[in-house]
Amino acid sequence: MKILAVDDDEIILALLGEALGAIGENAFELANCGEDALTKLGQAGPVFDCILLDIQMPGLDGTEVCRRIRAKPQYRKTPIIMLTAMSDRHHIEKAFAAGATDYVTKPFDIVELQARLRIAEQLSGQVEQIRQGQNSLDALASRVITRPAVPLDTPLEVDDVRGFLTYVSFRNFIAQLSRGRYYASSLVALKISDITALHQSCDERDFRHLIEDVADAVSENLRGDGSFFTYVGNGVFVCCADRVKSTLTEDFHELIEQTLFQSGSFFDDGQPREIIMLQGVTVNSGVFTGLGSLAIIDRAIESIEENAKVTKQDDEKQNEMVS
Amino acid sequence: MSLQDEFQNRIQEVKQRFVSRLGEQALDFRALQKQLRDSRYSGVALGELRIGVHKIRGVAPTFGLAALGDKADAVEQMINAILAKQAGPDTKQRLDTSIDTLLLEMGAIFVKDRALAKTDQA
Repeated sequence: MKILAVDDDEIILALLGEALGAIGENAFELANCGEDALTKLGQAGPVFDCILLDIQMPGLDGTEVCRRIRAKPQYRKTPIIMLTAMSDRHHIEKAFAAGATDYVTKPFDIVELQARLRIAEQLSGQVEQIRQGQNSLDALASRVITRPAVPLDTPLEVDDVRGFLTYVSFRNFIAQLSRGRYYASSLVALKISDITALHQSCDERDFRHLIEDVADAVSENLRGDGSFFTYVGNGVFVCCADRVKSTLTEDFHELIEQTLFQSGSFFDDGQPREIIMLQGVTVNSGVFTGLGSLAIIDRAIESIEENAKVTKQDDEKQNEMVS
Repeated sequence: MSLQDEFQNRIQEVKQRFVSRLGEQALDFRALQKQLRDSRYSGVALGELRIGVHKIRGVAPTFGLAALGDKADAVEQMINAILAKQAGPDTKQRLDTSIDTLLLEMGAIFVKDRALAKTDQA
């Protein structure tokens, strides 16, 4: 993996150099400020597979550098790990909102850094596969009209929607809040009703549009700094908000339905599609709930799947009675 | 050899550079402390001091200097409180004391390192 490590402190850069050398199998370059990093990323040659980025730097800070890296098409999906001593919630939220994939706090532990880099390496491999696949598909585009739909359980990514994080980044965000003992978060999962039937009736592009329409509507209603959401596959979105300022009310799914109705969601053939959203119970992180970082995501997903199952059974009973 | 052991071996030279830098940094911090004592409680001086202690806080524990990291952290937290206007009436006095404590720790590590270097040379 080719890594770019960015920090204004030469001691940290030297430490990172030794750490990456000890972990092995990595080629790396060092940059001593945000401007230097952007110059290196703009140069011709092989792209970097992973970027380690300090937050507090003179000039451009790491969060701004992260945002500018994400604006470069070849680095839209490259793993960016924020490596920082800033452990407060505000900085964590800002970093993920700017496009960070993961967040490691200093003093860093070499074993932990190795584990995070392994995950980044896997992600980087996926990014490369997507890049190659995209090139092949683009080459075939003139001959192939429709692409096969992606598997229903694929956690799709949605670009340029405020508050949307990839599933990996979302999990890392929740995990980082938990490490910092910032427990005042609420999570709720939403599911597109009848998603299996919708998925079967769509090609890939149509299905992506459906997910993008719902993501736009979720974003519009999930207000407040530090509110994020992700798409986990199977028509399920998981939203996270600060418990105190939360907009995750019991009627949140209805607000999304209203937004979708007002903005209009259509199949690619121009037919309007009616989207019904289901909502699970609100799950709170915290010492008192006994739920740790990632367990709350699983709990929120379980809750919506149970709700979807019950709703389906009710619908089937109702249909039987009618017939 | 575990990854942790290998890493610790590899960073000895970097640690040496970090410790050698502490003497000069302590002088810089002392000058900033003087500015603050002279009632020039400028955001610039506080900001410079915060960046300096932040760097120490972030890296010292990796070199096994946890106490130094803790003392730098105490200074940084007080500066943050002052800059966020969440400071209590005695925070400035406590900041001054915590800077003294940090400078003592930095000095002790620096002097010990120098003494060890002289012993090695002898």
